[in-house]
Amino acid sequence: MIYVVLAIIASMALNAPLGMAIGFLIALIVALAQSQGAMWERLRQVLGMGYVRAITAFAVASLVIDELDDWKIAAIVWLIAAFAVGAWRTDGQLGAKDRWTLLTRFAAAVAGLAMAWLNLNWVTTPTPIWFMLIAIVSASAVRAALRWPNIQWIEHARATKRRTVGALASLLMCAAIVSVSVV
Amino acid sequence: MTGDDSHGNPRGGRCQASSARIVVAAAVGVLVVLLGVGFMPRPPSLSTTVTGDRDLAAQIRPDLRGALDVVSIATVDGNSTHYAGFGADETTVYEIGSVTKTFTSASLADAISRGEVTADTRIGDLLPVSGTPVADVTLAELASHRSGLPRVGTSPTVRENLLLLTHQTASTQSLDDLLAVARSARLNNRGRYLYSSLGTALLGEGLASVAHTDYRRLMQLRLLEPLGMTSTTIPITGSDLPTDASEGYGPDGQRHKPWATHAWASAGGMRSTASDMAKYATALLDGSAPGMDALTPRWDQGNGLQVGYAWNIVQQEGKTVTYHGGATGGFCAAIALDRANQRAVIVLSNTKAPVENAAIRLLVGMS
Repeated sequence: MIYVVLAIIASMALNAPLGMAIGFLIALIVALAQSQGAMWERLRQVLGMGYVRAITAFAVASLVIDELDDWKIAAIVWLIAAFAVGAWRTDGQLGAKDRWTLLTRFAAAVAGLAMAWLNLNWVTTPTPIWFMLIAIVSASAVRAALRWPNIQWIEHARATKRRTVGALASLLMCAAIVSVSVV
Repeated sequence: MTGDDSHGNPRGGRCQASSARIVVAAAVGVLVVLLGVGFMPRPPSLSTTVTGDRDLAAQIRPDLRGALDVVSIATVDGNSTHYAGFGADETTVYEIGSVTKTFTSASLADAISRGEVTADTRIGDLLPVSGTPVADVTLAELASHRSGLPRVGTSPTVRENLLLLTHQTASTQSLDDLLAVARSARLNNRGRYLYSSLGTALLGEGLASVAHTDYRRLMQLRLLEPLGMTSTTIPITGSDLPTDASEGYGPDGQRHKPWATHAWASAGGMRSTASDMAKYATALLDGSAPGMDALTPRWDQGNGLQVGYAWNIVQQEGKTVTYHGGATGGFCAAIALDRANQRAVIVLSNTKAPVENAAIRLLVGMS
């Protein structure tokens, strides 16, 4: 999620194609640094990393939607859907399996709502769409709160510091998106 | 059930913990819903409170489809002026955006008549841009959008993007910044019509430089005061804006903060009222306004349109309509003149939805 949020922040500041490219490149550099072995082996590992797939899919979807309308629509849908899917799924790559993941995705969903509030055309968009987004986030928040006591702060003991720093960075970036939208 | 009970009774403790979990989860859900209700988007709609001439309001209402909040209308027919408004009246202040360019171009025509400059004076002789392509551009080219300069000159910076994102003006450049943009600008298809706010911004600053003053003072001395436009202002920085300066709306219903356009003021920085604009229109129709030569059609801009100094001229239903529109982040404005029949229409709206067609349709329909 951190690279998607990073790409959103960069796109807000520098416009979509450049911002998406920055988010994607940073994810790629981190993935390459985390991979090991020969070049082909590293490449294979990078292509299999969940966050590389996520930022790639998000960047492509955003740029396609930007051609048709506005990349922020893709961002709004992505941020809210990521929290909903993460809260409700307990297994698989898309499920949020620890508290940091739930927390950062909740913050991202709130950022998505703030972007919707600021960027959607509410003259032509029916208000029930707003309440549908609120209902999705609210129901997912209830589900996340129910799961909370049963999960750990971090799923795996290794890389605890990196995960914590990453989660805090995500929270900060989400707070920045919310403040830009609301203030 | 007490805390001690839960220790003594594991099933009871689980039940209590489960209940607490449900209460917390429900509270979280309710909190999100409450925030959602609190921040529910509330797009505005055109006011149903009509002021002034109700027939005039009814006549223009079908052409105000994009207007979301308030609109003021003025018509001038010879010596007769009529006003109408939706949630506003002739004293309501609006940003008039690029209609400001007509004042800047009038100032050019006025400066030519005073002998301060000629139409062929080069901007490089007035502003420190020598050695760059823009230096060779003439004042007439700047006023008529034939300089080859781009619309605004540069891609938005990070700061400007964030200002735009939060619905504030991105035009916060100082004169030095504006000159830097001009020096780096390339000229494309010079001599052909290409709408350029950068060109008008340079023109305004150049004319102010010749008169040894600033743009705002130049306008006040030579146009606004002689025309009696006492409610028209040119905020340069945010501190020049009145504390109660109204916000406008984007076409999507989002609120936009009032603009103060710094060195771009001559391209779109004026705030005015229907009453003041009617004075302007009356003076343009009777020929008493300074710089009348700005309205003379001089060049073709394609699609049957001609351009004078800023003013557009078009044939519409057998009438020659001289007009200009303007837009800022949250406002739109239009002034349309039928000089032959001594008629004019002004439409001011606090929504960024074009009102030029509404003004022109009302003008050609006047009899």
